[in-house]
Amino acid sequence: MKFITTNIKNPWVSRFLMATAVVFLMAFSAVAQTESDSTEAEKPDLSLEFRYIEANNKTKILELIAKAKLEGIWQSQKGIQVHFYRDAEDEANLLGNVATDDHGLARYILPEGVEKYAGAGGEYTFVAVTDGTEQFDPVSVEVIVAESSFEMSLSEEDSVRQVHISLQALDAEGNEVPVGEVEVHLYIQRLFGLLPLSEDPETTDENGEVTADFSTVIGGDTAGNLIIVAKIEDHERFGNVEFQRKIKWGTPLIIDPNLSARELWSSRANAPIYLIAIVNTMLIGIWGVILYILFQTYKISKISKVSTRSPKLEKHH
Amino acid sequence: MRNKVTTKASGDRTDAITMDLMPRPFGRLGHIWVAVLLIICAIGLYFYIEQIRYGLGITAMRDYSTWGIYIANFVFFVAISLVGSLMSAILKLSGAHWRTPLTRISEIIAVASILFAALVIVVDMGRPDRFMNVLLHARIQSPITWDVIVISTYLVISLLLLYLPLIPDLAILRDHHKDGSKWQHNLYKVLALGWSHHPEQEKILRRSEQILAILIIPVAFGIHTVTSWLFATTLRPGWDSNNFGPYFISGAFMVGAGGVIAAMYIFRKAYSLDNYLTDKHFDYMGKLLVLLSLVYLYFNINEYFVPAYKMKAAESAHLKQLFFGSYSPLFWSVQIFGMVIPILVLMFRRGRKPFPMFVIAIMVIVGAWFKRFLIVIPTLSHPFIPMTRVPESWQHYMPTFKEWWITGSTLAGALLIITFLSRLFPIIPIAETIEHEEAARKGKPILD
Repeated sequence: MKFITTNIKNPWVSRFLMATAVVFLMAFSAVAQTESDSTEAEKPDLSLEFRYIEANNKTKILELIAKAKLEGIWQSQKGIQVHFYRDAEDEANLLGNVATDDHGLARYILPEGVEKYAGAGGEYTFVAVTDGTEQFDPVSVEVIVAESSFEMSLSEEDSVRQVHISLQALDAEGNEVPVGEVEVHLYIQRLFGLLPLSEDPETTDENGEVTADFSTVIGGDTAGNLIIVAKIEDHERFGNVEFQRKIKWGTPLIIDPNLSARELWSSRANAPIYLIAIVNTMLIGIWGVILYILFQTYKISKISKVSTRSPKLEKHH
Repeated sequence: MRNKVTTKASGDRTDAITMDLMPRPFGRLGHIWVAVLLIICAIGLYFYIEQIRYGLGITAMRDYSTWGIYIANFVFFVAISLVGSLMSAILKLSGAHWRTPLTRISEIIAVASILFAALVIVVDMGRPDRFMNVLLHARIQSPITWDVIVISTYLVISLLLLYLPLIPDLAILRDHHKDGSKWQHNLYKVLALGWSHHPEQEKILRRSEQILAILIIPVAFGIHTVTSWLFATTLRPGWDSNNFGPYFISGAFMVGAGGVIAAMYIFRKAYSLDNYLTDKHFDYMGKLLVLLSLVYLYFNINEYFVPAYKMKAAESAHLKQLFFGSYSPLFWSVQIFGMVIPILVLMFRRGRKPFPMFVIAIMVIVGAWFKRFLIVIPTLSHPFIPMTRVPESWQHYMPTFKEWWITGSTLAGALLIITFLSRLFPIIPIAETIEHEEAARKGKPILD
């Protein structure tokens, strides 16, 4: 500082520099304080939601969602490495590794033949372990689910449409037995989600069966197809199990041919010809003139090769 | 062009004009001015980076007020840019030769404004990284697509209208500007295109300027009509009007004239240009501004009186809010200080003196900015379907500090461009001024 003050004669400049230096020092100490605070702070908890999903008695999926509460807001955690194991965390039991995506989701599709690892009563244990990071400690979660046979059939007799569900599972001796008192939700698959068929879920009887009438009148695709979905959701024994079937119980969708007509309100591919013609004519006309003017400037520069410099003003300077 | 044959007397005068109008280095005030603008822009850039990082949530725009002061500012920039066509085309074609010293100023304002109009649209985008999608997936039926087309076209024509009349001046700078650095000299040399006052060059240049002057008028009308259609093609109270195109254009010419008057005054003071930007020019510009303001007043009466007379249910909430409600202080201030008082003051000769004109011009510009605010924002507070189940704060719009600053920094950026262009190039056309003086001295008609 002595160097600065002795070499700058204007006292206001030196005062300004000193003030600037003080501000910078204060800012630096604030940043340093913040950094030291952050290193001393405990790592936030990583919250994991681990689910088992089985679809149509075929596809078996392990799904893990990683979230953390940061600055008071739950935020999905991207890029967390997740290792999926069967039975227990052991290299020999490793099924696969997946990193979480933008939504904090890591999804692992179990390979075929995983049934051979089922224990008594068809039970599986799956373990998911996350890698530790600078931000989070490693976390381990497990889910225990039982193999089930969940099926749906659809029938129509005398214009009465019905949905039949049956649920069976293995008992301790390995025999298939019906499972009662399990809630089954019925839905129709729509474009952006599932539409419930009824307000309350159905419940399986002692034979492990549900029969529900389908009296809904609803639009399907152009052929009248609907996708009926039956689901057991977050069951403590079976996890998430679902079954889908496509059937022509919907009202066929008739696409209005006017939607593909060339109108002002149509998509860009169906712009009216007259509008395309007008806009392009104007564009060609105006930009043609602009290009002509640019060519004229080029001609001006070519003429300059013939004569040089401003004759008039040279006289006077 | 432009005064080939010179006598000794006229030669001295030519030298004097050349020396008077050469671009000059910034003085102390100039440096402070540039530093302040740069600081405003730098802070604005910082806030904009924050906006990119955290999204438009840092603004006060929400589900209902989806257009805020960014779009009001965009409309303002488009409006003021129309001054280029007014001075370089409409007045040129109507033979108003007094406009000569004002053309460069107006073209510089036009180029700076239209550049920032385009930039503000990007600032208003939540995902500016997807800007190219606006072009790649454009619907030709959408007024937004028309706006993108017409803005880019107008920008190119404005640049050409600034550049072409500048070529003879660039040749003068190339040959006689001694104070500048090497890069500056090289810039003049390249941009002068080897201009040598060859008759063929002059003929080409004069013809090109004429063509551009004709071409820019429909494009200028197009740019602001299309901008007005961004609003008028939607069924919203306050926007649902057949009158919007001429309403916007007349307002644009008015604020453009105000912009030129303010710039004239500042340049006259900063560079001691009293001999070139004379009281006569202020007088003419004052009369022009009165005319333009009266036309705009007429459209304003149309725009508010007719819907107010009918008071349709949908319009009434909007109009009552403007006339008597929360926006009424701003609405009446804009109408009175931004239009009525300027008309009254400028009707008198004493009101058309430089300083009163400067004050009036600032009132017109500020009034015009807030007028755009009043066009864009109150309408969004009155959707046809009532607002339900939204936070109370979403039902109003009060821009955030960062939003104001980003907007302010775009205005500062436009002023910065105007400042730099005036530092690099003659703010008053040298060659044209010499030509007009010689023509006047010899009693010859001025070739424009």
